[in-house]
Amino acid sequence: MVGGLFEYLGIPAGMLLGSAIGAALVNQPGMPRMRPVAFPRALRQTGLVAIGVVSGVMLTVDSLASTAAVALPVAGAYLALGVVNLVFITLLMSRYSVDPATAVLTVTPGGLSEVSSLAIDKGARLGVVLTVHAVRLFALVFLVLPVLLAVLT
Amino acid sequence: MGLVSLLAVLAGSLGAALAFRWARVPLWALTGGLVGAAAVNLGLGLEVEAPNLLVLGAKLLIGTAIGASLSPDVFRQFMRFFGPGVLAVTTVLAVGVLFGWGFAAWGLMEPGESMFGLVPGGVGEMVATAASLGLDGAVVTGAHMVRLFTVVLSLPLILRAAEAIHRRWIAGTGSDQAE
Repeated sequence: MVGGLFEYLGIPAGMLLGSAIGAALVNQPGMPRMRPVAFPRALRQTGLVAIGVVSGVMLTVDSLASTAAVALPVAGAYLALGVVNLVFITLLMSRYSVDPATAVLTVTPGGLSEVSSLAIDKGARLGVVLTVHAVRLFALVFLVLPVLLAVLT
Repeated sequence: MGLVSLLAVLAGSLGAALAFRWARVPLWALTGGLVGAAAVNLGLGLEVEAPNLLVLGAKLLIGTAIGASLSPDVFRQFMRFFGPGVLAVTTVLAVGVLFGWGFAAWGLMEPGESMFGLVPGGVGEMVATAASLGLDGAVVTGAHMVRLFTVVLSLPLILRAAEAIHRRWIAGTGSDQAE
């Protein structure tokens, strides 16, 4: 319901963030007459396959051809960013007592669904990972994209 | 024909996801699903477009899985990690913009496509915004696919480096202090 409401209100990644907030609010130990449950792993994997389908059908022959030309530099750029991120990973582990998996996934440049699912798989602190990636998503949509749009139009 | 094409893409996607699981590829459901869908869609020339219901259903499942895994102290964690989170996010986004500018300056990509392709964001929102500006969505999609696979496949390496740093300098320092 919260996901539907967020989607209706046009909030970025509304369904994803809304359903996460809705499920988190309901699935707590303090809720009367309800016990917290674990979300079935098979359903989460089904959701990921569906996201894969949605992204996969976006690829065209043109995009594959243009990707081939820039694939190596783009991969190199993200590998370089991974090395830069080791500074933040070290900072998070040393100053905030975060475990390595949580620190790595917190700064990983991935989408919210990808990184959150990896965090669940790796046993990272999902609250920390989700906090930082929600900030990234909102900064991207409300700050970076408007600036890019203003510059490019 | 539309429904049959969609079912064919879904079947290809599921098959590839299971193959990726067998091969122990990280995030096998997403990466396998993506490769299978693209292979069937392009290989058979189906030109399938994902229905909105599938997009929303996928986000609902993932969102609910995330929410159900959150512990009650998430709001305390939010306050504690907001500061370093903003710092990390600013750096990642700034480096993305820098990469975009660099790729355009070196003539590897056109400026618009370069910015939307290199700034780390969700594939959907970056492609949709780029397309709304009349930019080449295919180039942006391709760059984000490379990002996704680079990040997912390099993750075990980064994780190993982080564990080594933790073992060598952080856990070691903690035990020294304890002694």
